[in-house]
Amino acid sequence: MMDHILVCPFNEKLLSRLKQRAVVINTKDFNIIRYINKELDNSNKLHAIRVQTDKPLSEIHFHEEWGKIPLAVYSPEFGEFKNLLHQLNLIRKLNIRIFLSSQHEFNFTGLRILSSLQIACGLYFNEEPHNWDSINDLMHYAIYTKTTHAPIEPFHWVAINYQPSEYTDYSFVYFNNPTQYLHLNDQEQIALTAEDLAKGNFIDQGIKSLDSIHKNKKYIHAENVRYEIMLQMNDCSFCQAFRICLAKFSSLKNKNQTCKIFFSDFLNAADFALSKRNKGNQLWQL
Amino acid sequence: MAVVIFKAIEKCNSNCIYCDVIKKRQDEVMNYELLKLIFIRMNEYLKDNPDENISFTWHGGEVCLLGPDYFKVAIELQDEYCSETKTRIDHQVQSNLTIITQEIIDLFKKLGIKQVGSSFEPIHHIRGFGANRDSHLYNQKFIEGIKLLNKNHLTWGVIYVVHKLSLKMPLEIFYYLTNLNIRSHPNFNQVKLYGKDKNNLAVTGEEFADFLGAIFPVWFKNQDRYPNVQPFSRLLKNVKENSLSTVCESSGICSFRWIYIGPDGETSQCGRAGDYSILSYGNLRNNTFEDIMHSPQRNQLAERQTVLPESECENCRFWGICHGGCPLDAYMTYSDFMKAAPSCDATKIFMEKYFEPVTGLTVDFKPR
Repeated sequence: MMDHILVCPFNEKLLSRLKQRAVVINTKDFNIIRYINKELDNSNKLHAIRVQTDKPLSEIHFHEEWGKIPLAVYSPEFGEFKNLLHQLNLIRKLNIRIFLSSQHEFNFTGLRILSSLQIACGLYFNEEPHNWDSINDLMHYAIYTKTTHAPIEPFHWVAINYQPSEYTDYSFVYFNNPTQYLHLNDQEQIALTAEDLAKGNFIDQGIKSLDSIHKNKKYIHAENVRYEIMLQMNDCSFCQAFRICLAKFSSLKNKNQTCKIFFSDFLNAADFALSKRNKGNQLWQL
Repeated sequence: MAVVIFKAIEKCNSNCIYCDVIKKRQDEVMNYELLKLIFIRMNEYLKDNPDENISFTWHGGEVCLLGPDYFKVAIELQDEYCSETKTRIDHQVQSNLTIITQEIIDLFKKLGIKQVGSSFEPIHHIRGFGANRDSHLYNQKFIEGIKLLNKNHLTWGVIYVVHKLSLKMPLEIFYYLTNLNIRSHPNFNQVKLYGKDKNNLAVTGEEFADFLGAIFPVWFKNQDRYPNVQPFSRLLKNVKENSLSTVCESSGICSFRWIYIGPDGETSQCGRAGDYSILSYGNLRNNTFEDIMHSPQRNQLAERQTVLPESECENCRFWGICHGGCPLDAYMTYSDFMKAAPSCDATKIFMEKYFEPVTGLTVDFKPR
């Protein structure tokens, strides 16, 4: 039984072979969003279109006709707020999450602005984030702030999904958890994550092999990869925040000053959000 | 409930630095005739005591060294000789998991086992194979074992033995173990070393209390995150609910409930008594469970519970959660059952220095 959502490029030949399967389409071209949606309308279940752009957010031209098409827009930087201002009403009407890179300092302010304007948004991490204090501040805003604001990922996802008895992997937010998402290229080569696909670390090839992917040795290994980390007995395996970080930044050298502080605070925030969920008043049923 | 600690084998594939079982009769395995007799004896006991159940713990040595055939025979013998009483026998197992196989797991399941108790040590060369205690290979095999248990939906938990080298990193060890198994949390025990401490691993009661004390505030603040860490959960429950300890060594009521059975059919009080050949209750060949349960030797353990509250534990407000500690531990240290165990130091120090200040609770469990 195939239950993965497949993340792949917009390739009509490929998509024709993925009929009835849920897909996330990767593109860099805003101009083909409507076309993708139309093409997939009856044949595939469109989970989302992920648009990776080099443009600052403020330079993107949003369109009303994108309507309810599920969009994840990844932009490196916020840009000029004055240039975005006239599009805010339109963006709020769209079915969209806007992701900004952790690389630019102003993005942290930008994400607060978007969130306070009721636009769902998120942070994506560059390979070696250097601004852990800013990430931490944003997480605090996302989870602890009482004023109404739209979700900021991955903090919101963790806040609503964290359970103490389960490992919490926020990679879902980025379509990157192999228990739910698998990545394909035009040649039908299959990878566990977007990074693996880009690096050519494939686990199999061919649409048919998706049906037996649960028996694939590399797939099984990935499901158990946390045990390999525990065997290495590195800093991550002794860190209290491992349960929500899962060693995503294991290559960082000065963990005590960087990721360890942030993820320990993030774990406390997740516990706070959980207790808030559990204490929430349940309104009687009509 | 009667508790049977069953060591059909004392041989082990590991060479853990603090283990005394491995110094004993390495090659003996209980034969099938004696194994049959165990089920006959249990059946007699359960028929004569219709309100009783038996908790039957497969212990070792390493039980997986028995091999699948041994468990197959055990299941057949239980079916044949306990046909009416087998539902009242609750099988448990302790294993280091390093040689567990799918075939053995299938047989554990047939015995009704849902959880496997184990041990783990993140510090290298404490638990391991061979003279040098190859912990790298040991840990790999352990992880393979837990993957197999997970695949079969069997849960597992670990006991962590606190020794001298652990003292440098209590929180790191705590985080490691709770990261390794996010659902079942560790039980911290003080290492028991009798005689010469040639590896310099012994810890004092105060050192053990300080080890626990480094972890306790973190645990207390985050109990939802780390449920069921022992001894913390148990102690907090005892104090909050004013209930007495039920753990064997601090319960004070082990006297007439526990039976150790060794590879030759010899019986004793518990695993620790068996390991050090203290308190022989006779051989299973010549004695029924009822005889063993009522061995006059047990009276001294019961008597201890009246002697201590009138002597050295008279004014101890931690009596109800300690009961003088493990009588075997007291005997091994002082050659006298009527003494409080050395672990009492750890209990007192931990409760006064850490538990009470952190929780704001005051403990008053003086003997009545």
